[in-house]
Amino acid sequence: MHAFFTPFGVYPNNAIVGGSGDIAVGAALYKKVNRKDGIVVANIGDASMACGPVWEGLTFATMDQFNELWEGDMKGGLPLIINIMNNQYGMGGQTCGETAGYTIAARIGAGLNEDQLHAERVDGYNPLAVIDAYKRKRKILEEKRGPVLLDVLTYRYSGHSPSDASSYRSKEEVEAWEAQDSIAWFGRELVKAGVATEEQLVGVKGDTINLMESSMKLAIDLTISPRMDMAKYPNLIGEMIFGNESVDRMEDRAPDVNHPMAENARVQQLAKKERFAFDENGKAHSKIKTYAYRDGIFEAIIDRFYKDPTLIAYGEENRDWGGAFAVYRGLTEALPYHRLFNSPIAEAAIVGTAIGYAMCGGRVIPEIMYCDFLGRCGDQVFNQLPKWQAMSGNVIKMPVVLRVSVGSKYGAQHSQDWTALTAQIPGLKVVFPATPYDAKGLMNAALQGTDPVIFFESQRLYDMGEMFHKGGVPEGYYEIAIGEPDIKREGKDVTILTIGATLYRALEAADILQEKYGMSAEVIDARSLSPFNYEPVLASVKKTGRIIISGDASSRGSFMKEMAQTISELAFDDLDAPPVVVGSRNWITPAYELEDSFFPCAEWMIDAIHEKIVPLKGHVVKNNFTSAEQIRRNKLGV
Amino acid sequence: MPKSQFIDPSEVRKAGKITFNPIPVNQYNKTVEEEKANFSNEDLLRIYRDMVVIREFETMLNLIKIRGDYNGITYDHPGPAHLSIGQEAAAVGMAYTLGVEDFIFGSHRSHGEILAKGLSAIAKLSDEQLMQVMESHFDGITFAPVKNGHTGT
Repeated sequence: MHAFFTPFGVYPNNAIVGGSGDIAVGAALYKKVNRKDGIVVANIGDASMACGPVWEGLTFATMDQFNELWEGDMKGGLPLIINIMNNQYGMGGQTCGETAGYTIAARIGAGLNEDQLHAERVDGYNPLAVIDAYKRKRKILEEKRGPVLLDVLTYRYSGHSPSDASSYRSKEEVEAWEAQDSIAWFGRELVKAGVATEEQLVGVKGDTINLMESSMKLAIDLTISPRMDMAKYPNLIGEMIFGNESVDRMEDRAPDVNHPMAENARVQQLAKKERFAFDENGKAHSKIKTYAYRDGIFEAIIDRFYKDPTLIAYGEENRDWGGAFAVYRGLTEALPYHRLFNSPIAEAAIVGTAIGYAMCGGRVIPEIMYCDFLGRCGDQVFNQLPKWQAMSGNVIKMPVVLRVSVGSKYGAQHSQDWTALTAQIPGLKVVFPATPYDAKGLMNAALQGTDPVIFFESQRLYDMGEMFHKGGVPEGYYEIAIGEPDIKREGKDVTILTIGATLYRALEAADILQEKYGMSAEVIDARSLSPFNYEPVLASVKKTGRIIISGDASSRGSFMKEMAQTISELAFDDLDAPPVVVGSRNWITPAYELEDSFFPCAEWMIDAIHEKIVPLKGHVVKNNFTSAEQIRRNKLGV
Repeated sequence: MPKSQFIDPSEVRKAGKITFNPIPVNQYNKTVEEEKANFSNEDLLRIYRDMVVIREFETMLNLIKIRGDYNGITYDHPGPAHLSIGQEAAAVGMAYTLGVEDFIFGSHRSHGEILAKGLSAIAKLSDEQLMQVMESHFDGITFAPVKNGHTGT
C-alpha cells in the first residue's frame, strides 16, 4: 500500500476495501477546481461496491450542481473513471450469485444519474477491448460529461492471499479461466496476425525473468537497498508523522472570488463589532454587538480564501445556509460555487474526498457538523487522513482542516464529545479552542500548516465574546501555536485543566472556591489535545500541588484520563493527591432538561476537590465522588 | 437547496416513468488483425511485454510467499501479498492510454495496476525526463539501487 510513485501519476493504493472510492473522487475534484490536466482513475474491486463510503463517493461524484449550479468553465462533470476491476470475488465471497445483487456490476451506473455513468462492461481478458473503452471514455470526460463507470471483467487464479486454499471455488472453474488466459491468448493472436514471432515472445519472457531476478537481487541486498536505520535514527518514523510546515498558499495564483474582501457584507459588519466581551466598566456588550467565537473562525477562513487559491470548503448546508451554526454566513456571496458548496449528507465522502483533494496539492476544509457523525467517517478519519503523509515518506502533504462541532441540548446522538477518538490516533493534530481569540489564532495556524487538523468547536461557544485577551480579538492575522495550553486565570492553591467549553464552568468553580473557601484556583485551557505541551501544566502543579481535569466527554477512556495519567507520571513528587478527572457520566447524553445530571458543572468540580483532594471547610457535598461509588460505577460499567 | 432552483409541485407530482438506456456488455469485437490500423507492431508487442512483466512479478511474489525462493534466490517475506495473477490484461488496458498527468488510485490488489501505469509512463517519457524524475524523487534514494548497471529503457 506504500507502493506509489507520484511522478508517474501513480497515487496510493489502499489496504481498506473501497478506500479509493471516495479519495479518487477528491482527486478528480482537485483536477477540476484547480484547472489541472488529466483524468483520475479509481481502481476498485467489484466487492467494494458494497461499501458505504464507495456509494458516498459515487453520490458526491454525480452531484447535479456540477452541471446545474457551477458556472463558466467550472460547469460540467468530474474527470473521473470508476474502474471496477471485477475479478468476481471479494476475498472468498462471490459477488455475482452470492454477496451482491447487481449480476453485472455495470448495472450500478443506471441508478446514479441520467447518464447512467456512461457505464459498460468490458472484457478485461482482452487488453485491446479495455484500451478501446479508455479511448472512448476519455472523450466523454474531455467533454465534461463525467464521471464514467467501467466494469472490467477479469479473474484471478491466485488466491485472495497465498494462505487462501481456494475452498470457495472449484478447480474446474480456475482451470477454465486459465484455459482462456489473456497473456497466452494475446500471444497467439500476435503470432496469428504476423505482429510477432514465437521466438520473439519467448524472448520477452526470457528478458522478463532476467529482469525479475536482477531486480529481486538488488531489492533484497541490504547494502544496495538498505532499510530505514532505526537503530541509528530511532525517531525516523516519528519525524514523518507531521510535516510541521508553514505555507501561506499551496499555489501562487490569484484566487477565484466574487468581490474584494473589503466589500463583503459580513466583513463590514464585523468591523463594527466589539472585539472584547465587556466595556470599560466590565459590563457585557449586547449579543448583537459582540464579536463572537463563530466570527473568529470566519475571519481566519475568509482570510485564507483570499490568500490560497486552492482552498475550498464544503459540508452539509455550507453554502446558502452559511453552515448550521452560521460560521460561513457571508462566504456564499464572496465565493463561487466551486470553492464553497453543499455536499451530500455523506460524511465518509466529505472527509474522503478532502483527503484526495489534499493529496494532489490542494488545501481544504471539510465540515461534518456534529461530532457524533465522526462514526460516519470513521475509516476516513482513523485510517486515511492520519496515515498518508508518513506512508508516503512525506512525499504527500495533507492540508486538511476538518471542522467538527460538539453539540449540546440535542440528546444522545447529537451531544457527544469524542475528542479522545481522534487524539488517540497517531497522525492527527487535534485542537479545541474555547474563546474567539483562540479560535481565530488556532484556525489560522491550522490553515497555515500542511498537516491534518481536527478542529473541534462547541455549540455552547458560538455566541461567546472574548473575555480573556486584553484588547479583544486582533483584526489582523496572528497564529496560536498548536499544542500550547493557556493559563486563563492565575491561582496558587489548585489547578483546573479544561478541554473545550468546560473552561467557563471551571471559572465559575474558581469564583466559588475563592469566595466561599478562600482557595485560589489556576484555570488552564488545554486548547489543543495533540500535540500537547505539558510544561505549563507541570509548572502549575508544582505551584498548586493539586489538579482536576474537566471536559464534556464521558470520562471513561477520555483524553482527560490520558492527561491525568501523564501528569501523575510527570508530577508525582509535586502532587498532594492524584489528578482527578471530572468528566461527563458514562451514560447516554440525556435531553436538555436533564443535562445537569450528565455534564460536569462547577458544583461537581468543587465536590470532587473536597472529596478527593482536600477537604473544604464547611462544604456539604451534593454529588458522590467517593472511591466506593467510583468502584460501584465501574462494576456496573456506567 | 439554492433559491435559484424552484421545485414545482405540479411538475414533480405528475405521473410518468423512469426509462433506462441499454448498458453495453462486452461489445468490443475487433481482432488483432483489424487493430493493426490503430497500433504499431511495437505497441502490440509492448502490451504483451507489460502483461508478461506483471505476471512474472507476481509469480515471483507468490513463490517467495509459498516457497521462500524465486529461481533459487531465497527470501523470507512474512508480510502480506495480495496478488492479481490472471488480471494483467485489465491492468495494462487501463494504463495504456494514460499519461503521467492522469492519476490512478488503487486497492489492496494493485501491483499490476502500478506496474502497468509505470511501464506506460516510461514508454511516454524521454530518457532525459526519466532521469530527471529518478534523480529528484526522494532525492534519488529510490534510484540509487538501480543506478549502477542501468542499461536504459
